[in-house]
Amino acid sequence: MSYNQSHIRNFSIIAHIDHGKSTLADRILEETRTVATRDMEEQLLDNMDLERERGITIKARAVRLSYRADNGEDYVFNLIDTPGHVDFGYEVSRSLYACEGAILIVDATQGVEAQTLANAYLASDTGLEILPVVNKIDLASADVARCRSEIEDIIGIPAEDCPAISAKTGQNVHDVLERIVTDIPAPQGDADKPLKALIFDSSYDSYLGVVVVMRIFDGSIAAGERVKLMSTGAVYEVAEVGTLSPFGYTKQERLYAGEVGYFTASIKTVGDTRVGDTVTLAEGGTETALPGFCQVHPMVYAGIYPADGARYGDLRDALDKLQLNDASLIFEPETSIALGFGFRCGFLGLLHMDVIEERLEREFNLDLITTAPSVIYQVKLRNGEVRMCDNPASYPSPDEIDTAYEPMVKANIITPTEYVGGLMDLCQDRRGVFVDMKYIDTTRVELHYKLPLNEIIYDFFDVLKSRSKGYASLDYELAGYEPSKLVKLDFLLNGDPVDALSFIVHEEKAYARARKIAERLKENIPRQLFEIPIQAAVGSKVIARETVKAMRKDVLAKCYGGDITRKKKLLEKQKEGKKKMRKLGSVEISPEAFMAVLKLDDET
Amino acid sequence: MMKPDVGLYVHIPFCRRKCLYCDFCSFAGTDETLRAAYTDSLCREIASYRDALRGYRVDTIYFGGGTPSCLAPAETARILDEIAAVAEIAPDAEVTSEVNPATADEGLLCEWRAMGFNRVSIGVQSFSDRELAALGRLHTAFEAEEFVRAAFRAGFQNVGLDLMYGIPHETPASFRETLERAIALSPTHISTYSLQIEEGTPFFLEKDRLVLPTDEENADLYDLCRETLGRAGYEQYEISNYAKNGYASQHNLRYWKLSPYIGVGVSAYSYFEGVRYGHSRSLADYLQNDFSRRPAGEPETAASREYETVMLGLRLREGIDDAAFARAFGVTFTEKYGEKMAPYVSHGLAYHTGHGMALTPAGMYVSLGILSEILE
Repeated sequence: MSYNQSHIRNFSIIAHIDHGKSTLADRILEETRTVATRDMEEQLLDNMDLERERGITIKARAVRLSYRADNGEDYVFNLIDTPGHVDFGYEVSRSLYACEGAILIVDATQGVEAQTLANAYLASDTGLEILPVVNKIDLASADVARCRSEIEDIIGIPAEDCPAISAKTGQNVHDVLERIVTDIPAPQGDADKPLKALIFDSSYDSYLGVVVVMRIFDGSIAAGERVKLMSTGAVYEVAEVGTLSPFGYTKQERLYAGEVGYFTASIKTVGDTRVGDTVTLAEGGTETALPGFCQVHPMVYAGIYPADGARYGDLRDALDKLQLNDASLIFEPETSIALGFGFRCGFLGLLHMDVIEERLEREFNLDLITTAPSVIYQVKLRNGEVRMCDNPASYPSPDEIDTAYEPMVKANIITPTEYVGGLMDLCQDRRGVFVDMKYIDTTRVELHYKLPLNEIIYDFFDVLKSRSKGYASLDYELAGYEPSKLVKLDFLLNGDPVDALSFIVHEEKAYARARKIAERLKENIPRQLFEIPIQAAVGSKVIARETVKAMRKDVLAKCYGGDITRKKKLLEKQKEGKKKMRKLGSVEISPEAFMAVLKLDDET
Repeated sequence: MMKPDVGLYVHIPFCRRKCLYCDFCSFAGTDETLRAAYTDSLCREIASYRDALRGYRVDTIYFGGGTPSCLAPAETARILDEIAAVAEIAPDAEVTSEVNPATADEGLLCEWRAMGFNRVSIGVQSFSDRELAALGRLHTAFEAEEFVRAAFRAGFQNVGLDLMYGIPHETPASFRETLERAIALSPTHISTYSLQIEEGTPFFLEKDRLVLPTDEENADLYDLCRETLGRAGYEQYEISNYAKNGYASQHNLRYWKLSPYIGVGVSAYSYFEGVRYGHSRSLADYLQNDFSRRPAGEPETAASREYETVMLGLRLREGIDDAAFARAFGVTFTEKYGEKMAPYVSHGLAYHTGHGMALTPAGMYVSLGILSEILE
């Protein structure tokens, strides 16, 4: 199809998790005949197994579709998929920036949820045309009218005649396609101006190398041209340009203003390209980059160690491979006295961390030990120096610290009214500061709290879900640093501190946490030949204590007779079992037990 | 010059009925023809050692089983005669037979005494009828007591009792009663083994239904045992063995001191001339064996000998003697293992004896854990 900017529609689909984003994307692919029904694999856009399993999209993807509208004209649709989780907020914002419009899906049985709101605000702040769609009308509990009025009342966009569809059955999906043509504006780029394109994704392909996915705002791009990435100033010669289909890359001669596509050049790693960066020509390019670029920084850090120390090299290779496709994953070697050689890894958030851990375990067949996640603390020392600290091991000693600061978030929780009390208790318990509470309607409430990030990263979301029977939803954004009374909690086994167990915690929480972990250690440390004192300490002050009693068990005592091969076998078996154990000081513990100790599910 | 000593173990694999916990090589039933054939084989195997035993002196003989008292006295006598015919037996040799109170009487004991047996090891297991029934034993507590008295009457001065703890339904009180009734009989030797549920036994099949003591309770029974026996003058000379002064089992000590022994009979193990070897558990194979060749075995190396010396030596109360260890391995035990043993010394599980190192009674009970730490 020839280039005609007025017939291009660039849009995203935004929704709260499970409201049907991927299902609608699949139906759109099917309706536009981009994918024949028989070739459909459910939720094609999410092409990682893990994503499909969790029903969430982790990395942005873009596909180009062609659609012959009811008016007889042919249109090019660029469907830009966005990650649906708060960990990837920046990536979402850049993907949205690449669009002129967004389809906002609301589940007719659930109504507006926290992420619906957050995404809608983000889209309208980005200046997008929002096209609301009520989904799941095939379900008996669907309430289309209520859903429409919620969209109007809460989000403030007209929804009276918005499409009411079932992405699952395909009912009324055609209306959505028509509305994309009529309601979403065409891009307004100038193909004659110098190239100005926004990078909103990049991935590593074993044949093409790094594939940079971009939206062209002005100008055009073709193979052989020299382009510059404006944030770094790095210059590359374009090797190939093209568009993306659900099945891969389609090479094109040239891409023009308003289009979405990819280019390749001899770029080594995805880390050299940054989401949000502007691509222009190396010579005679634009002076002004597109707004909104920023470097994403990890928010959560944890140590990752191979359960089997001999697999350190495998873990490093696996992380290298994952990083090829995920520039937001950072890691550096770390040594723990307790756990040996491993890596300190930085993640965008807990989901990101979970995903990386699972991919390491599944795709690379590694057994891991992960230390308790930590946020980045800011510590002002008495000597005036300010330090950022993401690792309890490097946390300054109490007498060096003038003031410690911890990162805060603004949390937005939407919940049915009956759970408000329980969730307010939860926020209070997690040191939250109440901001306000708004009734959405008679049945639902929007709660605003300011909370320390370190209270959210453990199990906040799980507890929120369990206390609201799964009905409450959460969204949050970073809200700067605030002074806080933080302490470093250390654990000593048999008098030896175990570095991998240390973590930073608020003074008020230290005692309860210390007791809990000490108990967990007691439960999980196998009995050894002598009694093991477990101590939790802040500085030199012991605040909790438990004891693992000495093991008194021996099968050798039961062996009689002259056949000593039996005794030898028992001994060898015992030694084999020991090999799997980790030495924490003079105490042995299995990797499984170690993980059980670190699991901070407070409400189980 | 004194000849080196060797022990002789004779395995009698017959029982009237198998006990529910028993994992030893034994067969229920005492068919006369089979017994005769087996006695023939045993005698042939003993005879096959005629040349090998030249220059040795047998100073311990031990009939174990199974139930040695299942043999007819004439069969037992024939085996002893065969031993005497091929080997020189020390005049003060310890000659033991295990015996089950249910398959022997005072008459048999008198015959044994006359044949030259000077020690019996009586399988009592418990003095609680309920526990005896649970174990599948064929005698009562009273019958066992009577049998012990009979052994003394028959002229045995060295009488050992085998007891068990960790039996289903056993309580500290019932075990104490067993110990006290044992002590009251004044045996010279008491073994107390902790019941182990072995694969292939009826107990194993119903292990989930058995009411067994927990590890902790079992350890308490061990403590109760050594305290009670200790007070009564029985010294714990090995993890599971107690004796009045001078009555430690010379034959069993061979196992722990790496002193040579020849085992004859089905499933019997030998440690002879630096090789460990043993027969399979197949009675048919044994009966067809012409004994032209000894079972294949593994020659020991300096490393394996050291490993075994430590593994077995630490079972003994006297522990490991530095000088003897140095003579065998060029370095004292304390020099080589002292550092690894240090944490156990500081926690009261091991100690320096003055001429070497040993485990304390508490350390003996967890010897597997200690050995797995210190042995390479």
